[in-house]
Amino acid sequence: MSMEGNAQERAADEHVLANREGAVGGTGTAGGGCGCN
Amino acid sequence: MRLQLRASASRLAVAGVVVASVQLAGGAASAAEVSAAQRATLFLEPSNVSGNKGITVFHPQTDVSGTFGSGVGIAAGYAVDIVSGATPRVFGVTADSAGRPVDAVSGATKFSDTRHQVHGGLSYSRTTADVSASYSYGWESDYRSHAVTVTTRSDLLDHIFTAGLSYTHNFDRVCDANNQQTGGDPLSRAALPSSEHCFQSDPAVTTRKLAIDAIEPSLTWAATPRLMLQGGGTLQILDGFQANPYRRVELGSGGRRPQETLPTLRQRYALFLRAAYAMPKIRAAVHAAARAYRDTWAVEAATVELTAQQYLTRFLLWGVRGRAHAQRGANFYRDAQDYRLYGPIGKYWTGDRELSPMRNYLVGAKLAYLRIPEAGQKSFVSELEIALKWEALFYDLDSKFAPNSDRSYATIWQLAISARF
Repeated sequence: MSMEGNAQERAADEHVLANREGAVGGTGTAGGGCGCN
Repeated sequence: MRLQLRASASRLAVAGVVVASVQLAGGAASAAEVSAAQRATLFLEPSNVSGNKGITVFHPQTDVSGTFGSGVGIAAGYAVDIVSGATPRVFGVTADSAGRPVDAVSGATKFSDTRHQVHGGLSYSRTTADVSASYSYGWESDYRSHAVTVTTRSDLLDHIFTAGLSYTHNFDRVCDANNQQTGGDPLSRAALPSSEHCFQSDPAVTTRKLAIDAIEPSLTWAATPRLMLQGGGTLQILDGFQANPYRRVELGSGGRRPQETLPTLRQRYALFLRAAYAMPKIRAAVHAAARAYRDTWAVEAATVELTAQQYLTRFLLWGVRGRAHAQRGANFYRDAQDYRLYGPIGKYWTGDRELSPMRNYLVGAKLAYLRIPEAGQKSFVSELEIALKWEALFYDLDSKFAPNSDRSYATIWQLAISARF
């Protein structure tokens, strides 16, 4: 059973927020990137 | 409704009332299936300062996957971030004609960059368990990233519980100015002027490593045929260069503007709870999520999210999303005015908004067209979805001297087309 729904949509949503706030986790989308901008 | 279930047939039958996409995982009985998805996201974060452009990010991505009757699956994808805009290279304050500090935004520098990422993966599914492994490579002018992920999932107690575990390791490299001549004095460090000579044999630049390990266990409980609950956590350890190599921070009133300096080790912890509730009578579903976070830089955060989706007709789905996030800043963070008045706290300093105390709020709406043939009806395309989403993200910072205080909101547009054959 999986609750992640549409994985691509969720990853895109998290990608938007990843470099705009200080918290991560709970999404299965941990990754890199310097977020320089 | 993408409340995907990989569960027993009885639960699938109930959830199928509101579920537009149901994936039956593995087993020799599964037929071959191919999925393709194209998604484009446009992120617009304008500046309220005349002459500053803010930030624009265009993010198209393509994903293709296939599963075969043997339970073996294969996936591949490509994504791009095209970033442009203007952002200050110095986090500091300027003085007006009377000598009083004014807005933190000074001298925004125009830039543009493109980040590419390719990924591929293999999976193997059986009736009660699956395992997958994937690899991704990302590259841009000043950054290289290799990442491997292994994920496993097992159904327990007749599919009532599902235990999941995911591990990711990043082997990243970051371009930086070669500050060897500073003798290790962080106050003398110069920022990287541009990415022009990165990953070349230019002695003015160097490459720094960043290793990231992340592990995410979770447990999902099918509490009732309509209610699913999930709890889990994330542990992420970052070891290496984590600063923005271009950014400088103004410290004290003497005009010193050294490169941003951050600790090289960061441990991040998150606990989360999620719930999904189906309402077949009104053909709707609600998802709720909450997350608590803290790390060894003393950033503490709480995030809550609520989404609701409902079928308007057999083919038309609409949804709304709300999200709120609040965080405390890192223990070495100060706003630009305090860095100028009091200097740094210890040996680290930053001008990064994500390390500042702040709140943000997101609201959005989505409209999707879904085409799924009737049961028994043969069709080359077994599922088609076209979705348009709009969201607005509002920032609430603690002071006008906080990083990016000129950018108070962002709008996000997303268009997606996906098909299953």
